[in-house]
Amino acid sequence: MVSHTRSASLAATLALAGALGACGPSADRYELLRPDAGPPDPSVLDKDAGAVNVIEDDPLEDWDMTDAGPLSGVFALEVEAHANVIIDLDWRQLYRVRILQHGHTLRVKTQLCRIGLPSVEGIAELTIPLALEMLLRAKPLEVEGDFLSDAAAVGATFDHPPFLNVVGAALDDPSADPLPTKDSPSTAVDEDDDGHTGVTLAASTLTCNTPQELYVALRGGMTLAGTVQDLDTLVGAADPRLDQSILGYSDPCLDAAVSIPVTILGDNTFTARRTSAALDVNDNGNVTCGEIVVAAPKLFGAFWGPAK
Amino acid sequence: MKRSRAWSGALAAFAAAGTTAGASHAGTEDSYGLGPTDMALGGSVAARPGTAAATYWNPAGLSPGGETPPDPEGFGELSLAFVHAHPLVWASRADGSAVPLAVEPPDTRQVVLGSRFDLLGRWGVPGLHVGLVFEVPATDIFRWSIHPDEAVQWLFLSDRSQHVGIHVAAGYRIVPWLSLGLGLTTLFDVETNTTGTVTKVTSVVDPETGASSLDVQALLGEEVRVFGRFAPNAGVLVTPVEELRIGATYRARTYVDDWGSTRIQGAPVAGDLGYVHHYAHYFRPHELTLAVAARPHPSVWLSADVTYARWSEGLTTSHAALGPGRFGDTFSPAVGVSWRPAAALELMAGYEYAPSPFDNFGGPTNLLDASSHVASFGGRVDLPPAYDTRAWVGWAFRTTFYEARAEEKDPRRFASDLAVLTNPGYPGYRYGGAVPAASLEVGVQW
Repeated sequence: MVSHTRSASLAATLALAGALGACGPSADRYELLRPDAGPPDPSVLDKDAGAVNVIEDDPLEDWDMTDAGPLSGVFALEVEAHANVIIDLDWRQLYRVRILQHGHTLRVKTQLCRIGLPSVEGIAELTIPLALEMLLRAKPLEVEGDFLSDAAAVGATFDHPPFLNVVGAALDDPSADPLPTKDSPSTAVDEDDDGHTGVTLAASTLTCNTPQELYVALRGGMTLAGTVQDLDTLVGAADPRLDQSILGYSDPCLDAAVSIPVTILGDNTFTARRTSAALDVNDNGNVTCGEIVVAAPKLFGAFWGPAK
Repeated sequence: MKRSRAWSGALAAFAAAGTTAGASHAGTEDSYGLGPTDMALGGSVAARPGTAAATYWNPAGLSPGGETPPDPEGFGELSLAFVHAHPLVWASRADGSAVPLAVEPPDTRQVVLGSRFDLLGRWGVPGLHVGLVFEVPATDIFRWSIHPDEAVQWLFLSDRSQHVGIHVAAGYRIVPWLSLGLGLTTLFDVETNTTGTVTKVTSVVDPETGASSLDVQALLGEEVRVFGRFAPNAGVLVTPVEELRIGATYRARTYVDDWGSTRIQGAPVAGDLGYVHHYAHYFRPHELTLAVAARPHPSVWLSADVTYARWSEGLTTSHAALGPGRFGDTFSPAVGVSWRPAAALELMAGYEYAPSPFDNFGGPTNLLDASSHVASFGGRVDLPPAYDTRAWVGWAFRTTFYEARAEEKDPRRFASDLAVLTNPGYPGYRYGGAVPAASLEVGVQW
């Protein structure tokens, strides 16, 4: 009887111990979503240009600087504009402007470096992906004319003729032809080469749980009219133009957001500040768009991030 | 012969408890006990009757057997206990920097009011005893902290650190060697429905950064309904000889179900907005405890418990079941010893090994938990009888020592590289720590 009881106790102990060893969380039962995935590719974080920046190694334009006037040089230019997207919002643009002055005549090359699109944090935020930003930087506009009222420059008026950029569409007359639409996409072009018609904007809205994409055609431009405050600073009024056409989106959660009209409001201003050699991060003798983006907080304030 | 068989069973149970691993990690009852006695004994109390806490641990223990039942006929008992725990935990990156937590583990401060009494003894029906335990936070009545499961947070030290609970049970001594018990644990579900209409929206531009934000005014209405949620427990206590008690308890799965909806009309950009929420607070799985207590010496009791907890059905605070793998069933062994060096003094000590029921395994969740060793001790002093009453003071200290655990994110468990790189826990971290706790109780029996 005693022997039988001991055997039963031992068996119970061993069975219990065996059962216990088989319990608890189990990595084997936790299904792998991507069994072949390796270390994550950090470049996927670069999709949002707001988080990254590319400093180009482009040399300074090979312009003849003989008898160049005192206003000649590379300027960083910020446009502060106002728009209405149901409510009034601020949006800003950052340009690189190369000026060559001969008397009243200015040769001006304007390059769009970065756009801070109208956004309301936590409600609707639009950002320009890096691919689109590099596309915009690669489309500089160059004009030449008697844009300066006084050859002495300081105190002179500065009138820059309208300049225009179209992305996501190939138009015969960029300033007048209608942008392609979802229903009439014949002139739309996958210009950022990401497989989606038009160019891609990153969109985060309250109506979407995850970041989404908008596929658009954009026509943006500006007319500047100001004065030369001193040889390092130009200030004045800006008259921005922004046309957009939504060609598609990655998720129907953007349906409500895309139907909201964007209206450019008045009272928009620009400030241009001469760049110095200290901003030439890669020391190649040229201050490029990427370097202006780096310097923007110091030049124009906290809208562009913390000053470094 | 009878004694030999009893000791063989007791030794087998002790051996099982010493050689196995498991976990019990439910609400504050499991973590800190319902008073100093169960805290001091490491939760090894399912075969140890005699306190109001038996209402939860084993309702059969409300009316223990034996040739000489310990409680007089017609007795009544009241106790008031205070439980305090203070987490001292850490989570750090490989470079030693602290991992920001979504919520810092708060202290637990619970007040536990206990009672047990002989229901019908005065009317000639002995052996039917009732237990009531009401536990309530000493500070906030309830405190919920809800974050996505991806946020780095302690699984059992944030949302579950304190709550309201009512435990009611009855134990009946059928024959001197057999007692049975049935009880109910009551928690409170909440339905919250919020409706609102946006009345005014003003855009505000930060003068320093230029960033836009919205100042939204809205009329809000809220409807809240509270429901009782009942979870049964049942127990059996066998007393084959005076020196041996064998107990078994089942506690049913329960949690606070918190659900509802929010609907806001006239929101800018989106028009009408709405969402449905569903949370689970204080989840406790089905639990089954087997226990044995033995008295090898007239002044010494030894006990061993092992608790099976069906954590594979576990829910996170976000009401997510997570699927197979991360939650797993556990067995948690506990042992306790008590010694009465004098008639009015009882000293107690206990140990519990609580394997973690959860592991992130490199996946998107960042819920921190680790297996733990729990050591405890305490005592109880019986005060001199007065006015036909017996009063006592009890105390206990207990510390949970978490084993340090490492978490390293595994890209194979994520839907995309972007999801890996933006996970709050990426690339990984280590964590651990301890949770010291104490309990003080006063009680009186008449």
